[in-house]
Amino acid sequence: MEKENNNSSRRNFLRLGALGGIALAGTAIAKVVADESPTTTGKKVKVLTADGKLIEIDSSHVDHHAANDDFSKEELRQGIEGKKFIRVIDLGKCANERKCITGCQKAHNILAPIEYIKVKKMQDSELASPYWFPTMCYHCDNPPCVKVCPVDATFKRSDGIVAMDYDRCIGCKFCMAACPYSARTFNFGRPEQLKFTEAHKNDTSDPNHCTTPYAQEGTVAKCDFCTDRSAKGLLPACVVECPNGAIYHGDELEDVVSNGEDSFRLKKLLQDRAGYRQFEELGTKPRVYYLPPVKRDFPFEDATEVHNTKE
Amino acid sequence: MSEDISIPEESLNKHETFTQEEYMVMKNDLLKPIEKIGKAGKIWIAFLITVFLAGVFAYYLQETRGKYTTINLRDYTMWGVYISNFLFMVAIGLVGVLMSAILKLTHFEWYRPLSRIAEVIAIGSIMFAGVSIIVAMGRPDRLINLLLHGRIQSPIVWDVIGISTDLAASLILLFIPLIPSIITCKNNLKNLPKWQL
Repeated sequence: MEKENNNSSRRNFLRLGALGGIALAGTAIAKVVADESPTTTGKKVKVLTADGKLIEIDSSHVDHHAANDDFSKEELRQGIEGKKFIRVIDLGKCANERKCITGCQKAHNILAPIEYIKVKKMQDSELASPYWFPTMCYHCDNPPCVKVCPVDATFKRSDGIVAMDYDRCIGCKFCMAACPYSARTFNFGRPEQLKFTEAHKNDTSDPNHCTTPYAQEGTVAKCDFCTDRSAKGLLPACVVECPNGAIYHGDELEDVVSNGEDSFRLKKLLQDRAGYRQFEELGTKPRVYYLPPVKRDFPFEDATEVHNTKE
Repeated sequence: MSEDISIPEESLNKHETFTQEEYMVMKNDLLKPIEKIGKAGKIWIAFLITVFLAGVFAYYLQETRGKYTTINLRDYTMWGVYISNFLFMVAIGLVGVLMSAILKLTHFEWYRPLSRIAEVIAIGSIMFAGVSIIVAMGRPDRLINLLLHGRIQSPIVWDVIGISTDLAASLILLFIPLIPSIITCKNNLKNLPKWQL
């Protein structure tokens, strides 16, 4: 009798266990099903229906469109699908006219002396002629700055851009110490800069209005390959502004780079003109290539150097 | 460790067998500065408080008027002064721990007063090291992000872990040699104001 009781209790236990297991599996499946339907983001998007009505729906119901004006934090972190941004700079075409720098500052609502692009004088050897060397963030595929960030404020996106989350940066400047190219700048919060940012924050009438978040006081800022313009399919501000077409911007997957006027096949251009990257031996794998200044369009003029000696 | 073996048993317990006169001298040395602070001491304390307040005010200026106000620290090289201060202070703190550890391991009995001095210096400098890191940060108001979004791969997070561990260890190492002094104070100090007891 006792034995039978034992058995039945065991049977009951097993039955309970099986039921529990089914219940667990059920909830798991329900969860998976629920995950398939998009969660609401709380961001409203205006869409035009087939019968010509303009309605507002949650942004989760529409496929992501690159032309959306403002980005949520998650979209900024993910990057644009099917893109791998790359840049080629023709050193023979750079005359240090500083149009790319001013254009960049306008597009990012920053003032001098913060420069995301720095043009430096380069002289390979004593006998060789000097040339201008524009530097910027190289958006490395193996970025040292991303590795040292304590709060994940700088990150590598799927489209190759190393972007910044200015709302999360604690301003420890460790990424500046890690970057071998000195591409990053620290925003010291100069009063004129703060005033300028305040004034232009909501000024959308400016065609160069920057829809990505601004560099705030006490955070580290850098070139972001004009994330907002790239998402809309536009060329970055520096590429558009350069009067000589020295900067070619494009997509590695499409194998094309363009300076607005001419387009080139990326691999052929790099092979034909011996493209190189800065500090290749560091293994950072930059996404910006340089074409050596073999055929120069301009004679080197030292007078333009004055611009760069100012702070 | 060969010295270890050569030390006879009695010498190890020597510190516990001092005479009554020796104890009175020690007690006097310990209690006198606590019971009564001289004029020079008061001036010195006032001076130190003034320096401390001046530092707090300077930090207030830096944070409210922008980092730009630190006139001679406006370029990146000079901002490294804060970080070099941090390294200097961390090194002093580690020396404090090293001193007490070596003196303990080598069984030198005169180490006890020295280890207290070393530990007090260590605690002071480690706390200053932590402060200088926070001062060097661009956004100290976002310090909580280190906990919310901290990446264990980053050296900065290890700075935080290392300094807090060091501070905790130093506090313990200071408290242990202080136990006899605290007991002496408790037994002999009667006329103290209420908040000191």
